[in-house]
Amino acid sequence: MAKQVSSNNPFCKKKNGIKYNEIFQFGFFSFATYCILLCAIVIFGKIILEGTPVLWNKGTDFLTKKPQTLVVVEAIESENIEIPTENFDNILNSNDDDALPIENVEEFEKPYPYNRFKLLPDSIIGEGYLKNIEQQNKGFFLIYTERDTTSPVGFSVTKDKALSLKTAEFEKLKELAPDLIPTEVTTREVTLTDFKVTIAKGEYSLSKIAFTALTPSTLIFQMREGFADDDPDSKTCPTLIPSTQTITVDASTYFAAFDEDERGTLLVEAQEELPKKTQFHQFTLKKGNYKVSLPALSILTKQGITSQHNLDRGSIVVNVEQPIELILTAASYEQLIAANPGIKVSDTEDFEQKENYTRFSLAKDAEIRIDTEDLEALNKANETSGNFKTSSKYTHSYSGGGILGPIVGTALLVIICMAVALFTGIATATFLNEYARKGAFTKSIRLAMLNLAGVPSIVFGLFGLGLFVMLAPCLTSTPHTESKWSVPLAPWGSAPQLRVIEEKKIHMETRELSTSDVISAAKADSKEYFYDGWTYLSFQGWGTCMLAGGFTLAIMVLPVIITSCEESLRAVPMGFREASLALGASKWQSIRTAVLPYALPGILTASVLGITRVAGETAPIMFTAAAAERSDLPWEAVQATGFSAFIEFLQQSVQALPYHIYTVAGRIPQSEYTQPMQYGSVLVFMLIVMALAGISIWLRVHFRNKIKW
Amino acid sequence: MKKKKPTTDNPFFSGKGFRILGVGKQEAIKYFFGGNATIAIIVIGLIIGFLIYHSANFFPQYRSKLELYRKSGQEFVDYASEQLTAQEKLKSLSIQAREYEVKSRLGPLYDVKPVHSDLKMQVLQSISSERKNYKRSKTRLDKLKSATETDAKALETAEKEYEKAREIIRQTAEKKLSELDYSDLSNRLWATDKKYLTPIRESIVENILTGEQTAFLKEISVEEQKQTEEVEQLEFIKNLAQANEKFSKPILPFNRYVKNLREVASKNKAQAVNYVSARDRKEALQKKLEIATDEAVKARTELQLQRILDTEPDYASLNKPLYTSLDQHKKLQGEILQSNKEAFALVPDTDVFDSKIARRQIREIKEIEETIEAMFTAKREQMENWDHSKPYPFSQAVTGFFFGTKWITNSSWQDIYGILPLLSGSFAVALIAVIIAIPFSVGGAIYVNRLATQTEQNIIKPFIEFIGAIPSIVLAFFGVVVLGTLIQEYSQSPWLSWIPGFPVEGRLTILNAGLLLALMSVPTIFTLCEDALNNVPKAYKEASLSLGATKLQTVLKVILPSCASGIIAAILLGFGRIIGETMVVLLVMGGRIAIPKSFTDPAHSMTGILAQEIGEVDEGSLHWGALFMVGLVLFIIALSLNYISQRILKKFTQHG
Repeated sequence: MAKQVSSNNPFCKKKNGIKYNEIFQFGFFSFATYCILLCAIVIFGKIILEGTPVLWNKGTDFLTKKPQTLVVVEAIESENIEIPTENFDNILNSNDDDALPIENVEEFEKPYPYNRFKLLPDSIIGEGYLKNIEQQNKGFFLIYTERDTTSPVGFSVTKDKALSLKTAEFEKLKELAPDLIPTEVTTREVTLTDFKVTIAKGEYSLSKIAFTALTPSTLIFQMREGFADDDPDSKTCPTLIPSTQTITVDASTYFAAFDEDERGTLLVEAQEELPKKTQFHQFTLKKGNYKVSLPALSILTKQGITSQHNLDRGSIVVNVEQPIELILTAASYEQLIAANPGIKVSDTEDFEQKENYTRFSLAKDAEIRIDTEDLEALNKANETSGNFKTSSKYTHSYSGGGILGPIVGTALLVIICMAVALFTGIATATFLNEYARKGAFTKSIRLAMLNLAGVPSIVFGLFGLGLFVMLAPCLTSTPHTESKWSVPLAPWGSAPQLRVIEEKKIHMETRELSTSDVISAAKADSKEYFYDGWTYLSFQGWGTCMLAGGFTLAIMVLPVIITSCEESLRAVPMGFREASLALGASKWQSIRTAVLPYALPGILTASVLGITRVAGETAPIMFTAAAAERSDLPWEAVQATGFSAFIEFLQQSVQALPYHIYTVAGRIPQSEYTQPMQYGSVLVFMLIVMALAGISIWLRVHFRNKIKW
Repeated sequence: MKKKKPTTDNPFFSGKGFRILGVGKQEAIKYFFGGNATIAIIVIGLIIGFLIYHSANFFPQYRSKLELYRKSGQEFVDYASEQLTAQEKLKSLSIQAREYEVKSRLGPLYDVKPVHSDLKMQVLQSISSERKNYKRSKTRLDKLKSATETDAKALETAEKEYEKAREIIRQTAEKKLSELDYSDLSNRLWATDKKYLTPIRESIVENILTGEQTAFLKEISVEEQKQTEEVEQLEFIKNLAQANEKFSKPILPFNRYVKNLREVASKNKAQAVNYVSARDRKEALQKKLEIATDEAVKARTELQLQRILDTEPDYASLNKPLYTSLDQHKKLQGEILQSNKEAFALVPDTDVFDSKIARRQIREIKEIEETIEAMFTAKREQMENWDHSKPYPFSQAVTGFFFGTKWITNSSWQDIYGILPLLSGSFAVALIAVIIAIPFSVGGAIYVNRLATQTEQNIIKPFIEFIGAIPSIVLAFFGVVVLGTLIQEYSQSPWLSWIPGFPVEGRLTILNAGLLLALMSVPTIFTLCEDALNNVPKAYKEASLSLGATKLQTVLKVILPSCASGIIAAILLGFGRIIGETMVVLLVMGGRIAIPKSFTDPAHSMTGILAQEIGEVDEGSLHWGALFMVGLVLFIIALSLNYISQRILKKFTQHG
C-alpha cells in the first residue's frame, strides 16, 4: 500500500527508511482495528460455543420453565423407581444423555383418588383447611369478610392421648365441653414454691439468663449496656437497681435470677418462701373425632392436640353467592369433613385421576442432576415403596430449571420503560424542534440532557431507589405507617376486606384521631398499615417493583430517545411544514399530519436503540425492581380484581435476565453444575440484545438509504 | 375534540375555539410539550437533590459516632492495634517469603503431592459406584472369613467376586487416569513435570486398591524432605528463619495487651451506645403510653420506662485502665523495636532469592523497615496525647471520609468510612482501561476513516457499534469465567515476568476488569474520534497531499494535530463512561477494599460498593448516608468529566 516515494519529495530524505516506516504504521493501524474485532469475536464465539449445547440439551424447557434450585444427588442403585413421566423427561434433559444408568423404562398409568364437591354459601371452615383447598384448586381465592368464633370446631385424635391439666384449665374445659371428659380422672397434687425477695439499691452484674427471667417481672432495674440477640447466655452487664424493692417471683425466675451460686445473678437482701399447692387432673382422650368450642380447643392444643384451625381469630365464613365446585385429594377431603362441623357441601363424588408415570431402574449408583420440583415429585412418588434412596445431596441455587421468569420480567420492564420514555421523549423532541425558539429555556434543557447522558447508571439506581421506591406518592386508603408524608384527602375510603386486613397487617382505627396519632397507635400495635376511613395521598413509595424499575430505566434512556427523535424530526424537510401551514392547517394539525408520520421510521429506530440500552442494564434495576428468586410469574400472583389488580400487578418485583446472570455468575458459589445455567442464560440474553442492536443498526442504514426527500 | 364555532372571516380557521384562562387548544398543546421538555431539567435537579438530601446528614452523624469512638477509648486501642498489625505483617511476610523460596527451589517436586491427591479425587469421583461394589464384596468376604463355620464353596465364590471387583476397579481407574493429565488439574498454578506423570498415575491406582501410602509417594516425601532441608541449610534461609522468630516473639505479649484493652473499650462502647439510645427509646415508650387504652399495657409500658437508665456513663473512670496501661505499652514497644532491629539485620538481600514472589516480599519487608520505627513513635505519641474528653472536630470527620484509607462496615468494633480505597480503585481501573483502549480506538478510527477501503468501512463501523451494545453484565461474566483464568495462567510464563506485578496471583484483578472496560470504552472513543477526523476540512488533506506528503504523513502530521482536541475530548468522555460502569467492576475486580499497590491486585470501586451494599442498608442509617455520599462524589466526578469533554468538543467544532 505504501507509495513509491520519489527523491523530489520535500518531506522525505531517506527513501527506504520511510517506506518501512509507512508499512509499519499502516500495519499498526490495521492491526489495532482488527484486534478490536477479534476480541469481540472471541467473546461471542466462546459464549456461543459453550451456550449452544446447553440450549440444545434442555431444548425449549430452558425458555419455558422458571429458575429453580438444582440438586445434585448421589442415588443408590435400585429397582422400580416411580416418577411422573413429565418429571422423568425433565431429568433426562438436565443430565448428559448417556450418563445415567437407567434401565427397564416402562410407562404406566397410576390412579389417584380425588373427591369432587360443591362448597355451599355460609359454610364455616377453619383457616388452615381453607388454605389447603386453595392450594389444590388453582384460581380459587376467597376474600372473606367475616369470621366466626362461636360455632363449634372439630378435631381428630389418631391415637389415645393422655392429658394433664391444672385445676383452673380443667374446670374451664369441664364447663365448655363436659362430654369430652371421661369418668376416670385421676388427681395429683404438687407443691410449688413462690419467693418473696427484697433487693437492695446498688450496682449489680446481671447475666443474660437472669435478664431474660426478670424481664416479665415487676422489678425495676436499669441496664448500663444492652444485650444483643446473639450474645451468649453467660454474658453479663453492669446493672443499677435504683431503689430497694420487694417483689414476688415464681421458682424458675428465682433460680435463674437470684441463685447466689451463679455468676451474674442479683444478691438478695431478704427472702421468704411462700409454698403453693397445685393440682393436676389426668385423663385419657380416646381415639376419634370430636366437636368442641374454640376456647376448649385452645386449651387442648396446649396439650399437644394438632389442628389447622386459627385459635385466636376463629373460623372463616365462606361468603360466596353460588356453590363452588372444587376438588380435593381423598385424604384431605376426609380431614376437612372431620374437622369442620360447620361446613356445607353437596354433590360429593369420588373419582380417580389417572396420571402418567414411568417406572425405571438404576443399574448402578449414579450422580443425578435434578430440579427441586422434580426431586419433590420423585420423593413423593416413592415415599411408600422407599425405592429411591440417596446417599448425598448438594444444592445449587438458581442453577436448575429455565429462564422464563427473567425473560418475562425483562420484557415487562422494557415495555413500561419504553411507554414512559417514548411518550416524554417524543413530546420533548417535538417541543424542541417545532415550538421552542432559541433561548435560555431550550439552552438549559439541552444542558440538562447533556448532563443526564453522563450520569453513571448506578446513580440512576440510587435516584430510583430514593424517589420511586421510597418516596413516590400513592393514592390509598391504607397508607404505610413509615410513609414519609400522609396527606388526608377525603373523609371516605374503601374499607379493606378482612382477609386483606389480616394478611397485610392493617391497623383499623375507629376513633376520631389526628393522622399522627393514628400512625403512632398503629406502630404501637406493631402494624404496618393503617385505615381510619380517610383516603390519603401517601408518599410511601411504590416499593421494589417493576413500575419503579421501568420509570428509572425510562429516565436513564431519555437523553438517547430525545436526541434521536429530534434528529429524525429535523430530517423532515421544512417544506412539508410550510406547505401544510399554507393550506391553513393549524400548528398542531401540521405537526400531526405532516411531520410526525414522516419522522416515524426515525422514531422507530430510536426506540429499538433505546430497548437495546434498557434491556442490557443491570445497575439501575438492582434495587428498584429486581428480585433474585420468584416462584411464580407476575400475573400468577395477582389476587385483587378490577383496576386494583392492574395496580397490584405493576407493584411486584420481577426477575430480570441481567440480574439473573449477575446472581448466577457473581453471587452463588461457582461449580461445574452452575455453568450450564450461566452460559445458557448469557447466550439467550446476548442473542436478544444483539438481535435488537442489529435491527436498530439495520433500520438506520435502511431508512437512510431509502428515504431521500 | 371541541366543536368549533364557524366564523366568516377566516376560510381555514373556523374560530377561536375553546379557551380556559385564555389558553386555547394550540397553546395547551404547546405548553404540554414544553412541560414534557422540562422533565430533563427536573430530573437532573431531583438527582442532585436526592443525593444531597440523603447524604446531608452523614457528616454530623459520623462526627457524633466518632466522638463516641473517642469517648469509649476505642481510638486509643486502635493506635496500639495498628502497631500490632504492622508487626504481624512483618511476621507473615517473612514466613511467606521462606515458603515461596522453598517452593521455587524445589520446583515440580513441591507440588507432586497436591497434584497426586487432586487427580486421585477426580478418579474416585468417577468410579464411586465400582468402589461401593468392591467394598460390599470385601465386607462379605471378611464376614465369611471371620465366621466360625465357613462353607468352602461360598468362600470361594466370595473370593472370586472380590477379585473381580478389584480387577474392575483397576481397569476403570486406569482407563480414567489415561484420560486425565495435568491440564485437568483444579489448580492450574501447580508446577508440573512430565517425568512425574506416569509414576503418579501408577501410584494412584495402587493407592486406591490398597488404601495405603505407596512407595512412590514415600519416595517423593523423602526426596522433598531432603531437598527442603538442603534449602533450609542455606545461610540466607537460616537467617530469614531467625529473623522471623525475632519478628514473632514479641507479638504474643503485645497481642495480649491489645486484647485486654479491647475488652475494656468494648464494654465502654456498649455503655455509651446504651446511653445515646436511651432518649429515643424513652420517647417511643411515652408515645405508646399516651395512646394506650388497655390498663395492663399501660402498667407494662410504665415499668419499661422506669427501667431505662438515662445518666451519662462516667467516662473518666471507665477509661482509667487505658491511661494506666501506658507504662506497660512503653515496655512492650521497646521490646518490639529492639527485637525488630536485630531481625532486620538478619533479613537477607533480595538478590539471593530465586522466587520472584519471595523477592517481592523481601522488598516489602525492607520498605517496612524504613518506616516502622517512625510509625511506632508516632502512634506512641498519639497515645500519650490522647484524651477521651477532647471534642471531635467536624473537619476531622470530613477529612476522615475524603482521605481515610479504610472502609469498614458492619463491624462490631467501629464502622469507618474512608472513600480513598474506593476512589483509587475506580481511577486505577479506568486509567488502565483508557491506556489500553487509546491505541486501539484512536488507531482504529484513523484506519477506518483515512486508510480503509469502502467495504472495510461498511463492515467495521457497524461491527464496532455492535460491540457498544454488548451488555456490561455479559462482559463481566466473561471476565469471571474465562478471562481471569486466562490471565492468571499466561502471566505465569517466564517470558512475561518482566512486567511489574506479574505473575498474577488471583483471577479477579484490576487488570482483568481494565481489559474488559477497555473493550467497552472502545466504541465510545472510536465513534467520537471518527467524528473528529471527519470534521477536519478537506482542504488540509488536499494541501498536504499536493505538497507531496504521503497518505500516512498527511494523516499523522496534518490531520491528527488539527483534531487533537476532539480526540482528547473523546478520551475524556470514554474515561467518564468507565468511571461510572458498575457490573464489570463489581464482579471482576475482586472486591478487596484496600488501596491497590499494583495493577494486578484486587480492588473495589465506588460504583461496586454502591451496588453491593445499598440493598442491605436501612434508610437513614449512617451507612446509608455514607453510600449516598459516595454516590454524590461519583456523580460530581462523572459530571465534571462530561462537562470538560463537552467544552473541549464544543471549542473544537467551533474552530474546525
